[in-house]
Amino acid sequence: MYRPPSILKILGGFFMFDSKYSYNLGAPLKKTSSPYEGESKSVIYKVKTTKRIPYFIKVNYYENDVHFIKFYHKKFEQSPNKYKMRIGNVNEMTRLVSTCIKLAVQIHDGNRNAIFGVVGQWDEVDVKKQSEISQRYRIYIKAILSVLTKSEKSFDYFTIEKLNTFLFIPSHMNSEEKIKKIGENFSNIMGSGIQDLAIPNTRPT
Amino acid sequence: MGFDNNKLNYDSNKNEMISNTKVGSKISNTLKGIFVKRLTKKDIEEIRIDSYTYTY
Repeated sequence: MYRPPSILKILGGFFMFDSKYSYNLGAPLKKTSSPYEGESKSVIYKVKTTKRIPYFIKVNYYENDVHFIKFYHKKFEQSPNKYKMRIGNVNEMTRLVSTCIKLAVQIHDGNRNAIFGVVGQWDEVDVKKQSEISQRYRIYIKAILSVLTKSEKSFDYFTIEKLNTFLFIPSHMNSEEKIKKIGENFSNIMGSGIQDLAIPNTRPT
Repeated sequence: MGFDNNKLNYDSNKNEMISNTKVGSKISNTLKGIFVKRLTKKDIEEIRIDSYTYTY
């Protein structure tokens, strides 16, 4: 039987991604022009949660004004799986994602052509649950849509669901040619790693 | 690296970018059925409504 969400949940849903719930973003901690993941440069910010847990938010800059934003816990800094760690609660992750969106808006304010992408990496819990899409992806997509579709900013939104990837593109930048070029670049940058974006037990055969 | 640049194609009729299954590499095979989909207003509304119920 359908049970409508309570009014508190509805109101909570409106505000849970609000920028006032994001964490403080200081000056960039580190800038690097050494391509590590195919980017032309990257900028790293450090944020601390209310429980003083340190996270890093990283923005990778690519060709065609494409930016990918991601975050990871400091203690996994050296781990190749740092984006696949599920720690903290949903509330903490939601606030981190809200912080990523705040950063995207800042970048967009400085570059109206900026195109953004996020990859919601899967983790062990997603694998155990045999989820089709990752928890990070679900939070990213809901947060981004909840925030940006009620802002004055005009974006078009694209999903590559099986790869847990979400793109938001300024509407004036959206064209068949542009999307094709972004898709090509994304594939080239990811290389064989593109296979790892799909949750293992749901990989297409 | 080493992807065929044509493996993701944009289908303007469906407003989607479709993986090109003609490419015979191992990597492109994993991309079968994967496509870039532009979200419609209806899609967006459904996702936003769902987010109000905290279904993570």
